Amino acid sequence: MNLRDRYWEITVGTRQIASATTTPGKRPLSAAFEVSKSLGREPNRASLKIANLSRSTRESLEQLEEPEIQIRAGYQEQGLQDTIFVGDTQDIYSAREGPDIWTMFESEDGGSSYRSARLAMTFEPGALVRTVIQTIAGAMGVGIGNTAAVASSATLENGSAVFARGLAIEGPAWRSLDTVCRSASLRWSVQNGVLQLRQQNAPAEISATLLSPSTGLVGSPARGTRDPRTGEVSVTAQALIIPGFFPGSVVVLDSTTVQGSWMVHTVRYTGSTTANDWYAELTLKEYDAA
Amino acid sequence: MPPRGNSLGESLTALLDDRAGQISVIVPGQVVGWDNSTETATVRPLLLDRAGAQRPEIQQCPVVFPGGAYWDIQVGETGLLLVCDEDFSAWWRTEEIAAPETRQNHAIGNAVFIGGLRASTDTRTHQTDAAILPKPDLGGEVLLGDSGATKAALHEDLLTDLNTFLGLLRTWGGTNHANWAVASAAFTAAVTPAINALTAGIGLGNYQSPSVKVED
Repeated sequence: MNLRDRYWEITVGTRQIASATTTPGKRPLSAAFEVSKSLGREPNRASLKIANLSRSTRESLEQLEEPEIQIRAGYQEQGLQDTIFVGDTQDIYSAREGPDIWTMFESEDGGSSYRSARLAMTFEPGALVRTVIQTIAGAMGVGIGNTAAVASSATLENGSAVFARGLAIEGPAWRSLDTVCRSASLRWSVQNGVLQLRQQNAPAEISATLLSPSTGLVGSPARGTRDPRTGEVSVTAQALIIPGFFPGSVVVLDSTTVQGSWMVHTVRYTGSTTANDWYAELTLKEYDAA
Repeated sequence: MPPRGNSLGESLTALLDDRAGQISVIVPGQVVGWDNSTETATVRPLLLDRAGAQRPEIQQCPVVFPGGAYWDIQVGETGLLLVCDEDFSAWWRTEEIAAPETRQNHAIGNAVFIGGLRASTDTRTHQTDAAILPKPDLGGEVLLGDSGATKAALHEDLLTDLNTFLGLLRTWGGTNHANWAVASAAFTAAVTPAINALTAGIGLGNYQSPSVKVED
């Protein structure tokens, strides 16, 4: 596993702005990014800046209307790259910092879509919980992801698979989805532009990423104290940017201080082509094994 | 999703405003369907939401009847949607204390309907001393009560027949009868039809109000 040669690639709309593949004779572009992702209802966010784009490129980018931005990062070795962020860009602007002109991008994961999606619907008495979830998910304006698979067995907390009296929903679609999912002991988030549903306190995927000093673990993970409100224990860990870290995924820690399987709750990527930053800071929590 | 603001104060104000906008408490509504087997109505909220969109209809909406009385709710009737704190479906179905089935709080779907609220343009006749029960299926209204009334009203037909009977008695009593046998026969001939009419009227139910019925 070669964890030395960094790889990064940024796409704004249909335009690839920078790549690890540099043009011979040209100085590679400098870029820095910070990506924060979580299992929460708030959209994941990314701040990205690229130095010294040409004037025409800057101007054409700044005229785009909330373009999708995609950040891939990792290492040159095949299989060590991952899409760490997909989202809608709210702000694009350029500013001078010293001798350089940096173009800034502020983005949210599915932000513009599900911020604006609203619903006013009545479901007939006896409506299936899974039908309601799928209908709302379809109106969110983001990819439905694993919705169909997770919702197929959804029941209310009393075990019923139907809303006996029907259901009336209104307002922001994300709020209705949140209410219905919580009623069915499910949790949702948007990851890289698609919905991710999972059982409460359970990961979204069974497969896990091994994290040890030889696979990218940096330093020693730290175990926190038990949360008095939720009873959960959390672990913080730092790793190099390798694939497999996303909220709801499972990490198997193999270190001297902490071992075992943990679910990723938050991940914060920091990367810079001109500095040492190339890290994923993870907040990990216990989860219910299936 | 936290709203965007330029300052903490603006953000908090926007957040509180957003939250307040999600809390339904009381909304005017109109009955668009009635199911007397479940005693529930389908009710359409009569106010748009903050975004200017029609709010969803509420199906199987329980109806609150004054004093526990019960009658068929008329499509078109207006009133109030009273929105409960939590989803009461489980209690409503079982009559037992139960946990809310969904996590909806103060959501329009958790409403019950209370009839009687009317728009100012409603042209029904105003009565100062009587309660009005709308009965469009009977072609009008049932007026109940009168501030000066102390006794139950008589059916108009019964009153007519009783007055006829009373008139006969007065006529007969005001006459100087020289021959008692003749007078007695005349009395019988005159009063018997009136008595028969009263008896028949009672037997046929002619004196019952078409709008007010007492069931066993």
